[in-house]
Amino acid sequence: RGRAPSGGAAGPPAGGPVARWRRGGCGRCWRRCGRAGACCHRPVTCTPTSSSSHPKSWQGTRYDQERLLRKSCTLYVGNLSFYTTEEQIHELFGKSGDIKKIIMGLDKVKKTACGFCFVEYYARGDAENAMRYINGTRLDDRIIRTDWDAGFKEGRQYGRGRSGGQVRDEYRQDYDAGRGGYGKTVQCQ
Amino acid sequence: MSRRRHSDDSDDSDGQPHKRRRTSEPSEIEERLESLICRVGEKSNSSLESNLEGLAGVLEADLPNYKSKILRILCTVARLLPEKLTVYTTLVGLLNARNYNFGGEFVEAMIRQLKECLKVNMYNEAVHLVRFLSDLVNCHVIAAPSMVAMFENFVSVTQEEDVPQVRCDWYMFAFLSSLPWVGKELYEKKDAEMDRLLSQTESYLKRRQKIHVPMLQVWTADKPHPQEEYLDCLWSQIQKLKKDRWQERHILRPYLAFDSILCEALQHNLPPFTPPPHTEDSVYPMPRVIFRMFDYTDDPEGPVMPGSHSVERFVIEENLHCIIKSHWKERKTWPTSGCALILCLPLLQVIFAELFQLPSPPHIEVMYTTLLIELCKLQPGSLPQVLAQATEMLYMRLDTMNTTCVDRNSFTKNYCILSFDRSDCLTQDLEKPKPKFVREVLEKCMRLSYHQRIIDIVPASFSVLSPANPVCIYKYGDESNRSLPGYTVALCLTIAIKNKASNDEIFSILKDVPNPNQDDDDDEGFTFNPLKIEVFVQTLLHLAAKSFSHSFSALAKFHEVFKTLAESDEGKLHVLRVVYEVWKNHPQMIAVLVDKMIRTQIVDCAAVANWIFSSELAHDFTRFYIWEILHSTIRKMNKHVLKIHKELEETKARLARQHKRRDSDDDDRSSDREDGPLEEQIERLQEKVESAQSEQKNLFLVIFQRFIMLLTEHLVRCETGGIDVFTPWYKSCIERLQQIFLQHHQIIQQYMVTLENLLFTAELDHHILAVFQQFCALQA
Repeated sequence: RGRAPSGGAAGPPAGGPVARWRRGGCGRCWRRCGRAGACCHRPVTCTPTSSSSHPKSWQGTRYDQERLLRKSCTLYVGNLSFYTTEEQIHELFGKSGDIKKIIMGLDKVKKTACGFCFVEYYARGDAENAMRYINGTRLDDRIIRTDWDAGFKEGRQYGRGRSGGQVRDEYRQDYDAGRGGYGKTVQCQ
Repeated sequence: MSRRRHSDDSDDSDGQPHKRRRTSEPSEIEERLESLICRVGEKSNSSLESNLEGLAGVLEADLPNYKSKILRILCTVARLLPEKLTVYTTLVGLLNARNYNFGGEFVEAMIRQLKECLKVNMYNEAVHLVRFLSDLVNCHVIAAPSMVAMFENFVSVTQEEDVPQVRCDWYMFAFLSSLPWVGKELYEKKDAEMDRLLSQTESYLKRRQKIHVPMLQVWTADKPHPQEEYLDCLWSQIQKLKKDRWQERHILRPYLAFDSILCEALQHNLPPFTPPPHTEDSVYPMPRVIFRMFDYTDDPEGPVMPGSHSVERFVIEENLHCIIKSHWKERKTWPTSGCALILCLPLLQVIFAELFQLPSPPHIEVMYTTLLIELCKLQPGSLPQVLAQATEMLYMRLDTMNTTCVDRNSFTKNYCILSFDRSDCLTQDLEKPKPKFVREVLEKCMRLSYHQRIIDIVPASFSVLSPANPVCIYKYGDESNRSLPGYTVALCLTIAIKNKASNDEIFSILKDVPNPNQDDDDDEGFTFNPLKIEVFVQTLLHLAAKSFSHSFSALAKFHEVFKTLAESDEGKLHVLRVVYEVWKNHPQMIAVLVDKMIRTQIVDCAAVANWIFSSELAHDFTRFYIWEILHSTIRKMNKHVLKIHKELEETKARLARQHKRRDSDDDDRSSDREDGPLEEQIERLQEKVESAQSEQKNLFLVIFQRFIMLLTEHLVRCETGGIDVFTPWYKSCIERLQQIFLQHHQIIQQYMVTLENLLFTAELDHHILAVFQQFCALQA
């Protein structure tokens, strides 16, 4: 089948034998398609790659995904410390407008914070301002990252790493005191 | 406009993923033209002059086919890219030299655009258009005498009767602010007329009233920098410019390089321009006060900062404001925009001027903090030190800073406060501005981190300024409190809630709570029972104290109980009181709970306003979080009114479309029956709008009434006690009142009659009446 390239590349990867690539239904990864002809856009389930943050079995087409993102008032916030609280997030993200809801990301097993969250605003404009001015600033002395999210659904508050936390903490090689120390695979060694 | 398009889109991870349409040649060319025009003047390998010449050639060649598009693009850049004004006027000058007709059409298009802007109250953009037109005189596109004639019409607006002063102000500003660009040329050609205009200006400025000025000043003292009203300042700058024989050295003038070409061109005369008349819908810009915090003595090592009355100061600051306005939404462009290259002090002064502008900064506050951080990264050798110096300066002058600006200051100072020596605030009374400021900053720092961290950082001597540990206070928690009425019920409730009791079970437990207001009890059923409210709210909030989400879930789950208990006005007030009692150590929690309770209609806005002015909160009255809550409440009320209004307008539009369809269909089948549901909806919405507007008016009236009561009490007490009225509390209170007027002036204008006749009557103490008069003077 061939491994899908990571992330949200704008176009299908170049090179390789003549093959057709199509966008996974999540809108982010590319799947090699057996068909000849132009890229197709049939809805497809896809397996998430380690670096992307889309949900596991998104049934929408690429267009739906992008439409949802364009209208979304919800942001995904990553690289938080495990100790960062909802209160801190509320204070920081409240600077760009009134917050409707914050959902803290949890370790699936331990049910404790595992370093990400969703912030939903009432107004799209407030979310845009957060993307402009709060993305890339510090919270608990860490540079946090925000990204548009298509909308919270039950179950998405849990990390999808095998040990219960986020996938990025499974394979991490470095020591990060704010995120449980070494990555899980390193810890198990 | 490609630039505007980018700022409207969000940061899509895919950029422009679905350019599905087949780009036909013409639209490709149009996009290319747009891009060429927008990019001229930016950093390039060739000189600006050669770029302009090249571009003029390209555009001239495309004129036969793309004239209207080119006209439209040029008009738009004139309006939206004022920081490149002279680049584009030169371009137009070159085009006019090559194609006289095009020059004429462009001037006509600009005049049309100017009239449109004035009609729809886009006064800030109109100023840029006027300036553009006046610079076209320098490029030999417009004849100087016709420009003078236009300015004569502007200045004659000051002779109009029964018009708001702000209208005359704008026309005066448009005239004066164009003079740095074109004063020399106009004076050379028409000195007698210009002298007359300038003397008319002087007499207008002398006779206009300035009652509104104190309301807009950031500093209440005139030392070290007086804060002048913006027209006065500009007038001084123009007078000095005239004295210097109109020599202006800062503005980039590319047209000078093309003088030989341009002076061969034929000029056009501006058509006679009559300022559109004043209407009911005209909304003119608010007056401003020029913020100053630096002068040339503050920058001994850097390039000399122009004096405050030099016209260079005006030009530089205008330019910076324009750059911020063009680039604020696009953080990626900040490094290459003018900001990164400009001198520290004027840049910082402009940023702070915008940040402290009353009533609100022109752009969202958080943008300025991020901007300052980015600028420090871009100029790491100079800006951080200057910023630190500025912070220190602002701290030193806190005593005379407007309270609202102090709040915004603390908002920014999160990033730099802790490295300074603040021991002077320890010796002062805690209510004074400096200790208060430090306390608020520490509280804000705590909100962004956690309590123990603040305790660890703050030296022991400062512990009196540290924020309280944000824990909840549960009065029924301790065994020693078991004698309190309602203690047993609280225990019952706790167990019931932990066992996932329903609303009905809660009601039945609460039924047994005695009512201390037994005498007031009648057959109404659910009457106001403060003890019931206390027991329920205390217990619930205590159980849900773990996080905001827990508390919100609790409010949602027991919404019915809340609504019932808080049905009456006293009930609502008491709920708020109990929330405060439980969470007085955690102001952030109080704020989010109040917000949620308003949104879920457990309490209403008027109840919150009454609660804020109640005696229980008197101790916290000057703390920032109280005003955070009040302003947030007013904002919610305003948004609510706007939302329903919009719904009404949309429904009306649907009805109108339906009528139009029917008229064009000419179908007898569809009758008024079809209109029925829509018309009903409109009627219902109309009622909703009226009720919302009435609630909004009531909210403001309550706020003003309570302010008056509080201030009057204070004034009477001071008078009888023979003490000075101007305590820190009084200053804070008066400035908060001013801020309410300023921030919501458009809405409050609607209530003028009621305010004059009911609240701000002549019997009121003159201190309080003065605020109202300042407000009236704002748009008078």
